[in-house]
Amino acid sequence: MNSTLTQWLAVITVICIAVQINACVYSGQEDETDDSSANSTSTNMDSSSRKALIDPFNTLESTYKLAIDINLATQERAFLSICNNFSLADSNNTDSNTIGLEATSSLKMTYTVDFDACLVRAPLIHGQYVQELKVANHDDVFIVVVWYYDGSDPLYQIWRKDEESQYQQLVLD
Amino acid sequence: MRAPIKYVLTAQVFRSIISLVLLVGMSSIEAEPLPFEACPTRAFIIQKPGSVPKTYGVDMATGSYSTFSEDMGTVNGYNGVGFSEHDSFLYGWDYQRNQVSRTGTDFQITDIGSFNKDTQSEAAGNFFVGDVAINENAWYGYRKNHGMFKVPLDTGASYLMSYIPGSIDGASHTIMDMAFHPSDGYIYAMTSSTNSHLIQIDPATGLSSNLGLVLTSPNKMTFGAQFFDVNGNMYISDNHTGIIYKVNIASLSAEAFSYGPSSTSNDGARCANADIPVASNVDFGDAPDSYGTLMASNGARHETSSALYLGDLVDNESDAHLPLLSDDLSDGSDDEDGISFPTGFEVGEQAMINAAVSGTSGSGYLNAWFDWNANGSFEADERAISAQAISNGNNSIAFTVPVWAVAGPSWARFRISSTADIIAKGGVADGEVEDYPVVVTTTGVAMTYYPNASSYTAVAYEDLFPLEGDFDMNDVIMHLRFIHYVKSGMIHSIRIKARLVAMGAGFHNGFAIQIPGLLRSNIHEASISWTIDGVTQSTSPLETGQTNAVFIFADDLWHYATADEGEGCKYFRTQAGCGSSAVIEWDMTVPFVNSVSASAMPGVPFDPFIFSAPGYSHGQIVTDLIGSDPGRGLEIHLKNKAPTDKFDNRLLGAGHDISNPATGSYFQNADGQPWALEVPDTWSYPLERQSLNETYGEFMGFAGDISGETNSTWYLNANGPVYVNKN
Repeated sequence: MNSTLTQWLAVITVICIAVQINACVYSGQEDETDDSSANSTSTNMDSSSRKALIDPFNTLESTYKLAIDINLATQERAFLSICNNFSLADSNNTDSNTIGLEATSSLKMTYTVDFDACLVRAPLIHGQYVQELKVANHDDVFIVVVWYYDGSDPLYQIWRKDEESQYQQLVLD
Repeated sequence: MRAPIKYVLTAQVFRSIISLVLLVGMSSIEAEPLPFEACPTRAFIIQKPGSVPKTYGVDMATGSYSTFSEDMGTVNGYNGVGFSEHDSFLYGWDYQRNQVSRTGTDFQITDIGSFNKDTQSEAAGNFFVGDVAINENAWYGYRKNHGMFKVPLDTGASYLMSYIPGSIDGASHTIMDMAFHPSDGYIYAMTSSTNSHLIQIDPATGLSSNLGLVLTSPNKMTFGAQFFDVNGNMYISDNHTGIIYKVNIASLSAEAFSYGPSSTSNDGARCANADIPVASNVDFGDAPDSYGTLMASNGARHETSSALYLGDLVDNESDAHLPLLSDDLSDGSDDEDGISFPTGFEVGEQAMINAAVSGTSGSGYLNAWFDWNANGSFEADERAISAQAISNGNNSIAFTVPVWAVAGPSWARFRISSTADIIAKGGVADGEVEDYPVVVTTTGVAMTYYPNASSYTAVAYEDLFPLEGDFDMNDVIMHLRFIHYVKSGMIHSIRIKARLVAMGAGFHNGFAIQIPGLLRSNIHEASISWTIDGVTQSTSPLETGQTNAVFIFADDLWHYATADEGEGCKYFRTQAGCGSSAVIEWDMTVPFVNSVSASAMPGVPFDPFIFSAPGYSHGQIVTDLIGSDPGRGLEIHLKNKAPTDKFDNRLLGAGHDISNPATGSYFQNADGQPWALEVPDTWSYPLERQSLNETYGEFMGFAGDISGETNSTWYLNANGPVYVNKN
């Protein structure tokens, strides 16, 4: 074999081996008995020259804040639930593109609500409730239920997240 | 003269004559009855609601019954019946023949043959108390003020009834039936009265002992049917109510066991050596067994059918599945779907529930109990709904939470049945039982949940800190749920539910939650209540030596989980083809000394972190840095969450970590990648050694946008194989 070619092959081989070792060092090991990655005596690796892929102040929270402001004109005792699992009574169709609270229809709508899947369960104090909540990004539709103790029909309102806004609020008055 | 007519006896004529003779002969001979199966588990109840005795077969576990016979071939009574384990027939007093007669599978009362009596037997008249012995083939009959009488049944076709000498001295008790114990040789009977006593009778002498008071009732109880099971438990059926009580003869205690048929005339027979099986169509509850849930605890149970149930679903089980391993979670069919709670349960205030009723019967009765004082049992004064008539569809029912109710988590039980008045335990012949965890609050208290009342957020960790790992983010995965109890904008307590979901780590890690800014001194430590897998803990989880409140859930998570079973399975629920059904759950309620303003309260999920389990190594680099194992000093927090007072600061900025407290930067590498991540969902996480970036391709787009608006639901869109967690 040509000696020059042999030399180049040797160099390429060395380079490949070096790359594999480097990858092993940075990938770490899951098995505590294999501390090969930790045998390095360097305890403060200089990584300042690497470009950050994630902003150092980005805490990677997949949530948003929801400001709730309920202010009903009633002194009657009532109970508020804000829940994310519901369906139209006798129907599972909740499709709608309305943003925010949907306007009350002239047709009385009733819902089947899973009261185990709620973010808020609160007695209204003189018809009022104010709270800011942290909500998962995928939770973007809620039903607001106000249940009265006098036997009258409960109040239902659907709330939808405004994807165009960074400030989410749920207001009911 | 005509020739004589000859009658020829042909073979055909001869056969016809013989057939006719046989037919006439057979019609005059009674068909012999056939015996029952050996030791049947059903009880035979003979009742005479009109003039004709009827026989019912009763499923003891639920009290459901079916009619075996509408007509036993007599217009008189048939009483004192017992099941003979010697020949599997019933034997009882035949009022028509004034003797003991036999009954088989045709349920016709059949003459056993020549029956003679001694003088005292003739004088005793008819009997309604009797049973067949276990250790000898004989029927015994008792008549108050006359004594005990015996009829051996193995004497062929001739029987003699004789008085047991001296037994009149033991015949002072008012009893309506009696039963032989399966093994101790004695006869037992419960007296009929408002105060019912247990009587023990020696069949050899007829002498009796009053063992003591067992049951009291404001109304007279008449136990016309009494029998045993193979375990020596006695069962007695009250004629008036049909309630079957289970009697523990050793402790002289009794409880309602099931609800059977009622009648003014009642007698029962059962194979004493039969157990009480649970049929295949029985529904049990789901509350902890202190409430009476398992069959062994006389748990609430219903024979199910399409006739009557709550919600849309009802399932069957051979026994209850206790929390945390409820079948509602494991089999994908949650039949606790009939009751909803549109309001909370505030002490001293009105509350409402909705009951959705289904079934062909159209209506039933609802009974409900709430453990208002949270003592683990449903007492009589905790029956919030009593025999409420309800019909198909939604039924809203209001009731008041008592002023003595205790705020906190508890349980409620709902039972629907066609029997109106039932207790919280025992078997019922139809309907359904549904158990629910509930929370009682003081007046005016709101509950906020994160992420919601029935879901969890996931926190996922890489544990090779301060070195980078494979970024599969499954070295430890916990599910968390947070509940705030808020009144007038002030939080007075919190509740944290945590579940260990996965561990793809060889290191030993503990788990804790710090609440930054909430001082340890503001935690009412003595009032912390917490459980691990439903077991109440007596130690405090609040860590000492901390400025902030830090709650230690586990010093070493490997104490609670084991590697999945299976070839090549090294970890807990992170490898393809490996899995576990274990549910490992913590439930912690933390009251504050002083309420904290909701606006000032640190945001959820607070600061959950893992830490190196004391006594274990955490990698050579750590040992080199510190000179020993890290003890409690190595923690791994969410990105930019400062560690606790216990953290060994020599680890900050070591290895691949670029933490800089001066800038508020913690637990991230030079690429801004974290060692811990919160995903607000019960997440399908990457498999072992599959990086997050590869599994969720949208993640880096999300991570690259500090506003969080790009690929905001990246965690729902896996493009690689994931571990689907079913727990």
